[in-house]
Parts: sequence; C-alpha cells; structure tokens
Amino acid sequence: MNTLSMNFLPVMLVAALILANGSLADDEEQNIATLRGAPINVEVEPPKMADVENKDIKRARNYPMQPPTIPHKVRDYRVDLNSNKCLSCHSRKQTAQSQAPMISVTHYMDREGNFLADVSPRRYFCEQCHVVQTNAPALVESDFKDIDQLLREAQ
Amino acid sequence: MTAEAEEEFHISSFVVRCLPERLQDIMSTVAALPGVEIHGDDACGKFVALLELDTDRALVETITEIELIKGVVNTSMVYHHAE
Amino acid sequence: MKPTRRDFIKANAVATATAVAGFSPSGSAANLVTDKDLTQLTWSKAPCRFCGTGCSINVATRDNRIVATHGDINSPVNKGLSCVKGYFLSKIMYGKDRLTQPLLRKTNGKYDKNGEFEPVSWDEAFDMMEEKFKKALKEKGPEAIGMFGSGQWTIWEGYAASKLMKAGFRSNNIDPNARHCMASAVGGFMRTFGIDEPMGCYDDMEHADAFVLWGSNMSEMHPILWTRITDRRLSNPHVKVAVLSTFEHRTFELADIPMVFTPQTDLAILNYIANYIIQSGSVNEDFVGKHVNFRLGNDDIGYGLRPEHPLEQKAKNADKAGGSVEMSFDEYAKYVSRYDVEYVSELSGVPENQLVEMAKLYADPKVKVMSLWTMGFNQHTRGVWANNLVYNIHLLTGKISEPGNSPFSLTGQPSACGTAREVGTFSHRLPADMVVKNPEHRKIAEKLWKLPEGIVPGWNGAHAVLQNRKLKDGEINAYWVQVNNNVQAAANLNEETLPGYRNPENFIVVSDAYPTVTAQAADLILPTAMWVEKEGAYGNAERRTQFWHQMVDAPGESTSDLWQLVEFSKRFTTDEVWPADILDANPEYKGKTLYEVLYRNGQVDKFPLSHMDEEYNNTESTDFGFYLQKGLFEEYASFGRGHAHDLGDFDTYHKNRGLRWPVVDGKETLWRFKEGLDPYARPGTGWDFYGKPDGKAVIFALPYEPAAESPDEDYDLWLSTGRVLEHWHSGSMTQRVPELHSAFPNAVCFMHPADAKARKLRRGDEVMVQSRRGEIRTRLETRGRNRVPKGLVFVPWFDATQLINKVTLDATDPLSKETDYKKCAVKVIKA
Repeated sequence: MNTLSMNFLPVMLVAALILANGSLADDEEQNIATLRGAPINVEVEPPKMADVENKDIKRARNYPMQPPTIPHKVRDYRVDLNSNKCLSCHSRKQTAQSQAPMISVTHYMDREGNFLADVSPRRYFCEQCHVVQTNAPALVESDFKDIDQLLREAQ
Repeated sequence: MTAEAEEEFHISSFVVRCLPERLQDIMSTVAALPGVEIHGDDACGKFVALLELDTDRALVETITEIELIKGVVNTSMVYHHAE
Repeated sequence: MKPTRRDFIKANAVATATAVAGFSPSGSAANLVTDKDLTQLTWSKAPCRFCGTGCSINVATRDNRIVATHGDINSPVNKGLSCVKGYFLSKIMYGKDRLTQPLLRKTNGKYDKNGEFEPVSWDEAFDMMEEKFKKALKEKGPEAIGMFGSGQWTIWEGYAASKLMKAGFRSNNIDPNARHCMASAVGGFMRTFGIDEPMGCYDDMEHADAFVLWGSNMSEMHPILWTRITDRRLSNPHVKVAVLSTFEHRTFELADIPMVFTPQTDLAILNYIANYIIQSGSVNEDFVGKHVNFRLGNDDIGYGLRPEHPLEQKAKNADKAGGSVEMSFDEYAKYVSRYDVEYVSELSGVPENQLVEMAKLYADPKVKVMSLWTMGFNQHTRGVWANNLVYNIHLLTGKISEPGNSPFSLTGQPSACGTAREVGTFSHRLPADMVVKNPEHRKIAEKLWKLPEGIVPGWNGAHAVLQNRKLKDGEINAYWVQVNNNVQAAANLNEETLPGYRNPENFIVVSDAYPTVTAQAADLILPTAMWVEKEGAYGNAERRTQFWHQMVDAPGESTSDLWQLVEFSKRFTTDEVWPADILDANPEYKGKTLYEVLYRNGQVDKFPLSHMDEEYNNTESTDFGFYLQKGLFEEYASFGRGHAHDLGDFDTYHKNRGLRWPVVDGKETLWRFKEGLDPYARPGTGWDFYGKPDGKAVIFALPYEPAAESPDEDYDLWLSTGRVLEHWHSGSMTQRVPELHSAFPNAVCFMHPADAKARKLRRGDEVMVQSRRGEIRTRLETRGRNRVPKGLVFVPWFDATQLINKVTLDATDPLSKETDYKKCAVKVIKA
C-alpha cells in the first residue's frame, strides 16, 4: 500500500478505504493520483465555493509575457458594448487618479502593430486573458521552473 | 530585488522598417535617442530597436519620434514588459 | 557581474524581435548581458494545444524545458494574442503527476483486471496488449477490437492509427472524440456541399457587416477569434452582432440582438429566417437558379439511442435517416411557410421584433453576414439538420464564399479538421473525404498504400457511442484509447461507459500523459508524450495546416502516440491478421510484419534522417531510422493532391505559420467554390460547388422536431453542459496549471435565482443534479458569468470530481452519431 508505484487502486478497495478513513482526497499516502481522488462510481462532497482573493497585491509572473492575474474581486464588473469597468481604473487616462497599474502599451496597438489613440478594441474584453485567483488550493503541485529558477540553477 | 521591483520600468523591442537607402542614417538617428539601443539590421531596411524607459509615456513618445523620422515606413512592437 | 532579471528581459526582447524580423542579432547584442549563454533562450513556433482556433504560439525553451510561451506576432490567426489558457501553455506539461512508466493492473505479479496498477516495462506492456489483441482477433475477428482516438492526435498520428486499424488489423472500429464535437458539422458539409470544411476563413471576420452566433459562446470558447469580431464591431459602428443561445453568457456582452431561446427551437428559428427571406422577396434568384438544388429530407428519424429504446421503435425513419427526395423551389417555399414569426416566437420564446431584426440582416443584400456555430448546433440530436438549415439561409441569399459572406463552422479541437476529418480517422471514412463503404474509394486507398486489393474492409466501424455500447455488450474486447478522456467525456457514464471499461471480458489500454479518470478505469496505462515533446502537425478550423518541432524530451519512459502505434505494429504478421485468400493471391506479402507492409513500404520510410532539422530532436525517427513524420505526411498528402484537398510540401510548413488548403502551386486558398478565388472553381461558373457532381449545393427542407428528452413533472429542468474559458475539455491539462485551477476551481450548477428560491436553495449550497441515469454532487451558483433562464441549469464538464456525464443522455443525431450534450431533463435537490 505504501509503495509509490501504485497510482491507482481498484474501485472496491478504494471504496473500502473511504469507509475506513472518511476521505481520501488529502491523504498522500493513499496513492490515489487522479484529480478525482475517489472511485469513479462514488460521489464525494464538493469543496465549499472558493473565495476570490481581494488583497490588491501584485503577484509575481511566471514569465514576462504572462498576463498579470487580477488581485481583486471583479464581481458585477460590467464590460459590454456600453461600458468597461476595468478601464475606468486601468486605462492610461485614469491611472493618475486611480493609482491602478496602467494596461500594457501593447494594448494600444491594432492587429498590424500600429499605435492607436485609445485601447485597441481587440483587447476590450479584459477577462479573456486576465483572471481572478481564489483561495482554492492547487490540485497537483507544478514542476514548472521559471526563468529565474533556471538562471539560479545555472550559476 | 525589492529596490528593483519598486522602480517602474518598461522594456520594449521593435522591428523598424525603413527605406533601405536611408537605413544607416535612420539607425544613427535612432541610436542617439535616450533609452534606445540598436540590435541587428539587414540590407532590406529592417533593424531592431530596444527601448528601456521609465514610463509608458516616454515609451509612446519615443516610438512616435521614431515613426516621424523621414524614411521610416513603420514600426512594429514585438515585445513589451513593464514593472 | 551576474546577469540581472532586467538583463534577461532585455535579451528576451531583442531575441524575440530579431526572430520576428528574420535575422540574428548583431555583435552589439553581446554588450547587453555579461554572459549571453546564460540568458539565451531558444524560441520556436507551435500551434496552441487547446481549441480549434489554431493560434500560433512562440515557445521558449532552455535546458530541455519550456520556460515561457506567448502569442506569435507573425501569425495571421492571432497576431500576438492568446487567451489565458494559451498564455499558460508553458505549464501544462509540468504537473507533478506526469505518468512516466507503463502501469498494468496486477495481482501477485500477474495481470488481473481487478488488480492494482504496478509499473511494468514497455516490453511487458506490449506483450500483454499483443496477447489480448491477438486473442480478440483470433476468436471473434476484427470487429472485436477497437480504437478511440482524437482531434488532438497530430496529423501523422491519426494517419498511422487509421492505417494500422483499417489496413493492418482490417477493423474500421476506429473513431476520434471529434465524434462528440464535429461529426454534425461534417454531416452538414457532406450533405449540402459534398465536401467537408468551411468555404470561408477567419479573414471573413474583418469583412462582415453582421455576425450571427448560433449556439456558440465564442467569448469563452474561441477567445482569440472573438477578439477579431470585437475589433470589427467596436471599430465599425454599422456592424451588428446577434447572439442566440439557450442561456445568457459572456458572448452576450457584445450583442446588439441578444436572444435566449427554448432548447431545440433553433430549428424553427432557422426555418423562420428562410421563410422571411422568401416572403420579403429577398431570394437571390440568379444564384439559386444556377447553383442550388432543393430536396425534401426524411423526418421523424429517431434519436440515435439503442434500437430497442421506445423512441427508436416509434420513429418512422430511424433506419433511413439520411433519405431525401427532389423538390421544387415552390414546394420548399410552401414547406417553410408554416414557420411564421408568430408561431416561431411563441415556440422559441424570442420576441418577434428580435426575430425580424435578425432576419433582416440576412435578407438585406447589402449586409455581408457571417454565421458562426459550434457545439450548440453540433451537439444536437438534429445537428446535421441545423447545419443544413443555416446553409439554406446563405444559399437562398447567395451570401457565401466571398469575403464577409460566410457560414462558418467553428471547431472545438486543435486538429479536429486536420486529423479527424481530413485524415479520415472516423469509423466510416478514409483520407480526403472518401468513405469505407465505397469500393472505388477503398481501391484508391489500397493502391496509394501499396496494399493488396480487398484489405480495407467495407463495413462501417463502430462510432464513439456505439463503441461504448459494444464494450458493455462484450462485442469489442480489446480497446485502445489515445489522447482523450472518454470516461469523463462520453454521455451516460453509469449505464454505458463504465460497465464497458470494467467488463471482465475486455482489456482496455489508455495512452495518456496524466492519470485521468479514463486511465483510472483502464487495465493498462501507457505514459505518453504531449504537445512539443514530439514533432507534430495540426489543422485548424479555417483549413490551416501548421507544424511544430519536438522542442523538449518527454519525461521518464513516456513515448509519443505515434511511436506506440508504429512499434506495436511490429508484433503482428500478415499471416496472423489477413485472410489466407488475399495472401495466396499476393504471396509477396506473406510472413511480413504489419510494420513492414504499413510503414516500411518504400513510401513512409522514403526520407532519410538527414532531412530532419538538426536543431531539434526527433525521438521516433531516430528510433526507427527514417524521417517517419515526413514519410507519413507525404504519403497521406498524395490522397488529396489534385483532388481539391491539396496540401503543400512538408518542409515549407516548418517555415511558415501554416497554409490553408487547397494549396495549389504553393498558394493557399482563402475562399473556396468562388470562381477566381478557388483554383478548383471552373471558369464561367461564378460559383462552383464541385463537391456535388452537378456543381450545385443543396437546400434541404427539414422540420422542427422536439428533443429526445424534455423537462416533465419528475425532472423539471433542462440541463445544458459545456466548457468555461479557463479549462479545456476534461481539464486534464488546465486543472494542473495552478493559476487556471485557482481561477475556476470546481464545476458548479448555474441556476436562475428564482428557481433556486423556489427550491429553498442558496448560492453555495451543496446540491444533487439528478437525471434518470445518474447524479452528481455539486455547489449551486446563482450569479457569475452565466445567467441561465428559469427552467434551465448549466454545469461545466471539466471537473473530474464532478462527472456531469453521469447525468447526461446518450441520445445522438441519427445522421452524425454525435451526442446531444445540451439537452436532457434533470432535477436539482439539496444534498
């Protein structure tokens, strides 16, 4: 049972373990490596709905080109044909007042790379690239190494 | 690390396309602009400009300045990073 | 001095720009950083791993690892953009639970279907597979084996798999998960035009005056194409956007005409528009007279359930669903006349003024209209009809095959077009739109494959849904799943899928990079390379074929699907799997391995390793000793060249950002069927729908018919399933990216606040979503991005902990065999 080699347990055995241990999802030793963390035919209690992080603290990026994640709630932010709530703080004109980070200069370029007077319409729907983060813990650890880590390892 | 993170900076790279016969002149004009480095060119009239400036306003102004130089066909931003 | 982070960013900026400009940096770049070697990255291009848009991505690698990804500025598709998933591509391969060794269920050191997974060598894994496949073939024949692949297979993987199954094992029981996704679109194209895939291309988005979205939440599912439509709409105030769906979603944010309709009534709305065009005198009579035939299609065709199901017993035309008879324009006009605005408004719940406003966009000859659709049409028990009906509208008005006038079928998977459709990995297809039932087509395939006549079987293989039914019934006993997660994806998991996988008679092999629920249900798991861990090619929704190189090596003992397929073929000889009479008539094939006759046939092994780009590894080719991918591609391309499916030369695709076929004389084709734009359209025709023998497309008269299951007293809500922006399909990649998981961690049940209140439920409550087939436990969401109407709930399917396909119904379109994931009846109760 405790060898690392077993990634999955047969359905019956896992069901028995659930009865014995209550939950399998957070017990590393059980070697249930699927994201499901339970037999296919068993329904487990869904986690409580996660809360959106609302600390307004910039998060480090994995690489320079990554769009920054949103460090605050955006519930009921209206972004439609008539208005864009995000730009009311993050557009160039507004940042002096709002003290919010200005959107990148790339957002002022059209498809052909020409500069426009205002934000390019192709960048209008902010949440296609920028997403909030919640307090839900990661399901699986990531082995991704960013550039800084690789640079450190190289030196 | 913290000191660097506090300070605002913008790094951006551009491909500048210009009339081939004006390439050398334009490159020296551009190289003289503050915060600009030139990296690589070819005979067809293209070169790469690297901009390192403190504010986005300076960035946009510099780009506009490059675009206004006689013989510059267009500039296209390839990369922009701001902190 | 050590290089700083800032130096690093500068070096990156220069490297990216010089790559775009197409030259290497001058010596002056060396001044930039103290130690160039330290900060140097290798940038390469690859199409995105996710949806069918086919954005090109720049991938930075260093020390055999991906360190960064961003949208490729040189790509005409995305011009430097990518969506949030695309920006996080760097991380999809680095989940800590990557599979690195083959795993076999064992008890006491021996294979046991009820045993625990234990690591085994590739030899032992293949020994076991060989034994089980040979047993099934010997005892029951080729119908007892099956393979389930994907629109995420690379082009050559799909081609190698199709060849192995259809020619090697002589079994057409191979189908891709594109069956769940694009089969109805294929059916629509073949029926109306006689040739698959869109006539237009993404450039239409910069030309159209109006966009009508029929069951497609592009804002979340095709975000980068949505940026092009947003750009067009916001830059040009005259442009109008109409959005139709069964619930309000993010795409409605850009809608001038937002319409929520009762599920299934899209069929009536489509017919109403045709009727409006006729009644208002807006038919393009010249176009219709020259380029269109009219046919009356069979109705009452059933719901693709098991034949003994009462709905199938009752259906008049369940066994001849595809039948049709000729009719005249006048007869067609009379047929659609019953779909007037009063009737359709009442049936659909869409206000009359909105229906009229939308119909006017189509009817006005000055307005160029682009219609777009994805799963709303395709995952529909009348999916092929829905596709036919939208083409009717464009054909009546002649708004087709020219910039901006474009009925456009969007694609869900990165190579549903390139692999599933063009290669023909469906159970009834061969490359270049040919079919296994046609003896002439089989002959062509056998000749191009240099195989004896009679090798390719003439029976339609089992499609996706039928494969699961046959596994359950013990008719398919040896089964291989590659690049997909069908236990999570297929409908009616409890009753149809899981019993088949766990049927003691069956041996299930799953090739995957991660431990999915499908792997969990398997008997043997093969650790598999993904995305840029192998050389690949995908074909996107606008007929664009794109290549990439192997940029990093796969972890541990993982191998690519391609390697697995070709290596496994070495274990079978023709004498074991081909009939004696064919071998007697062709003795030169006797005693050969399938590897020799399929892949060492003088064509696939034609290109030496020296043709490879020395900058990149190529694990499979190095192992087999020839440039496998090039050989497979060139042999495959011979099917389509000269037959309106022309692909370009292999090497060019490694240099460009893809080409849209047909590629004739090195030139891609943006709009098909229009004289002057498509080299295959004959001079003097104007438009030439050459997929049909008489060059005419077909307008089909087809009715509105109800869904297979609708809400009733016991199960009082419609259930629609689908995706969310942050996750792709079953989430096996995106849920392992911490940022994407964090952004949308679990599935929820979206419900109207009034419906929640009536059930005494509140946001965040644990609820059970139940149908006649199964239930899941989830949490209730009454706000957020999807605003569903009363009477309907929406649950996304990415979450392995909440398998909504326990609840869905395996009703399919009888024509396309594609499942309707958008409509069944459920109830929601407090858990």
